[in-house]
Amino acid sequence: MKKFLKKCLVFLGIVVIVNLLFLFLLLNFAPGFKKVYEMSKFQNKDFDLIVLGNSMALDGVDANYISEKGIKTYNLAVAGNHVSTTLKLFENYLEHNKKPKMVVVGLSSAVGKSYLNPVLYHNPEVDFFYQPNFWQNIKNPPMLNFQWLAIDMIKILLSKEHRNATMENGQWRTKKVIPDNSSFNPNRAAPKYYDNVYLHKLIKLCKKNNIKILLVEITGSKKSQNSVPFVKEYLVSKDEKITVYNLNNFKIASELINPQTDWLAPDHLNVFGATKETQFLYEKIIQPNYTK
Amino acid sequence: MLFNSIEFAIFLPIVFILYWFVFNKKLSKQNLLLLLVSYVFYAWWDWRFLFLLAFSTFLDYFSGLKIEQATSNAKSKFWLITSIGINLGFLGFFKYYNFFVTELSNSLTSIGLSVNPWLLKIVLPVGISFYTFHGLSYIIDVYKKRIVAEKNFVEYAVFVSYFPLLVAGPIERATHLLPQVKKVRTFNYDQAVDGLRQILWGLFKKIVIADNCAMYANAIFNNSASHDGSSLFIGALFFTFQIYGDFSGYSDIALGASRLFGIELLRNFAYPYFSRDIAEFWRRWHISLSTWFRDYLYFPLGGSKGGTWMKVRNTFAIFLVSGFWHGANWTFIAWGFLNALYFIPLLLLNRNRNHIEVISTNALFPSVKEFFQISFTFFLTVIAWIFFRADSITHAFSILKVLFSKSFFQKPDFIGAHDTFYLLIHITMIIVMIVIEWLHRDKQFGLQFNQKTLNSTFKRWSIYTIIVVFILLFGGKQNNFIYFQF
Repeated sequence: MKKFLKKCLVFLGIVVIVNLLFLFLLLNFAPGFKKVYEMSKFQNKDFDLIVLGNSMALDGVDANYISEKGIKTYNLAVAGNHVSTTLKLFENYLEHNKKPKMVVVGLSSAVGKSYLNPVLYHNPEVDFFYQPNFWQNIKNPPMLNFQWLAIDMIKILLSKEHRNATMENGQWRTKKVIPDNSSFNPNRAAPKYYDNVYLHKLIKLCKKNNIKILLVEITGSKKSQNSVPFVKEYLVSKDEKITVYNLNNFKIASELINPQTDWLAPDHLNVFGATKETQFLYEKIIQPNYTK
Repeated sequence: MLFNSIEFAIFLPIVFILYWFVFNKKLSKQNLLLLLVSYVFYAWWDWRFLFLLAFSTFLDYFSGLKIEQATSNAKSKFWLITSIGINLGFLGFFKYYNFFVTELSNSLTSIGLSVNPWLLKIVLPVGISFYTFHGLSYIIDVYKKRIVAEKNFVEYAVFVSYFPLLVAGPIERATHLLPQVKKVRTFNYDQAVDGLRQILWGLFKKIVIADNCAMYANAIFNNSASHDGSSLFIGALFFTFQIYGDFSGYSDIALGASRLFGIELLRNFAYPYFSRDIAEFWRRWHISLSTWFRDYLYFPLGGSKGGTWMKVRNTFAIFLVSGFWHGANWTFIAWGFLNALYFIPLLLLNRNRNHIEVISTNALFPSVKEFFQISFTFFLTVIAWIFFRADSITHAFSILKVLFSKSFFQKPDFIGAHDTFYLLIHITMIIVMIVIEWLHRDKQFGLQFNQKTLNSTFKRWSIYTIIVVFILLFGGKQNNFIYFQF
């Protein structure tokens, strides 16, 4: 029996060790995971502009470009984020760092209601660093919890395109090209869910801290684009209006984005598309509001 | 409580420690513990159905005693029929009531009589098909005087509700399990280590193979109208591996867990997809159910002793009943019927026992002939599984119609809808399973090593580690076991 129990403990030890090894690999070879870890350790950063959102903002907003224009920018977006997670990340950022002057929230109605989903969902990477929970880590060990990151690491190992991608100022930059061969649907429904409670908490938080907040719909693939005007106000409650800048407008997107060269995946811009998107974003939205 | 859940990962070691360290002094205490934890295990789903389980257990225990004490054949027959009737009554009520009422209502509607039937709005008590069959086999064996009635209620209750087999088998026989329950058990290191290996292999098959294949199979079967023939065939292939990984994985975990307590359960799977004909397939697939039907239905009906007509009738009877046992849907009956059609020619040509021994013993690869036999048998089972998986007979035929059309030779449209990289990984995992099981086809399960096959501790532990990594990294989304619904 002793021998058996000893072997069980060794087996358990192996499971723990492979999980720790996996975490080590993630911290060194999974740029997205490493970014969330680094963000959780940010202290006294003095960025002027913070970009928030999910993978569409992570890929599509070029923080380097805006920084080069003189506005020190960091892209705090994380793939798979819900707006509630964005709120959590930004609250944490404000707690430990200097207040930015401006926040750009990259909305992603192009990929459906995921980001502003009325039903809250968690981002395991953010939870792992921002709300460490021993029981959760036992129930959901890192290898199980971050399965897709293992696949990403294998992709990095096997594909040059993935190896050459970089994380710069929080933006995921890849030259990978997957053409967008989808077609625009003129009957595409207008975005909704702007009355999301967490989005409003985020707006209030910015107001309270005197931070200018810009809500921007990031461009999606042709099939996801809409005909909503570039600037539109929405009445979200009796006495509250919000302004949304729509880069997902079909006409704007057609002039801005080359469907054959600017996409890395459906609804996700590559570095070429992101630079064009950010140039427009900077000139038409950030700069006019920032200088005010 | 699912075998592939964290709750079970905590439950099993606790029971193991209590069993060997706290309740180890007396067999009666160990059995009482097994009974209590089995009821806790069952109550985890729905405690209300515990009463049904307890009632069924008590009924068969009591009927067994009455049959034995009966002074006349009529009295013992009365108790046999009472027990079988009540057991099948419960099973029929919970599992088949809605089916029969709906079918009757449809028939009446078709002749112009509109009825609004009252339908049951409760879930099927998990494991009812399995524990009912445990009880039936016991009662019939007592009646046939193959065994004596069990006097100790706790020991009998453990036989019925022993947690590793309670919800999805294997369907045990009193002649096999009861003597083990009654015997003092001592800890056997080799048996326990083998049990852990079997659990690990079962988890791999369930979590890595079945749960991933389920994703593709569901995507294709749930939208079958929008897929071409080649995609539908791929969907059927994925389901073929899903159901194997799911049920044989479950059985491996059940058998492995039981070995930790010194109890050997009946083997349920013996590499069925390496079968050379359908008869061999049915000797290797869900063995405990096939042999149950053989012993308690096929033989009493006369087996294959009579003429050709009797052989054909009895074969159809067991396949149709076996199909219907799986669920209240015509698709299961069609699945059974199709398997009977596959089986009958072998039976009539007296070739149904051609392949008894393990395939290609002492050879690394099968011969060309064997390869084609395996492939053909596999193809037949894939086609049969379409009926098992389809929502209705119409659905199954619509799939077959597209599958056997020109579009079978088209590039599968389904591939573009999934991440190719994930797809490749999942196909690789299926190949890993096939290779490991082929290499161990003469063993009880895929990961059963002995000093002869793998004498290096380092190599063995490396394999365990790789399997753990595969389970954690490539495991699919947690799904219920398919056979829980039966």
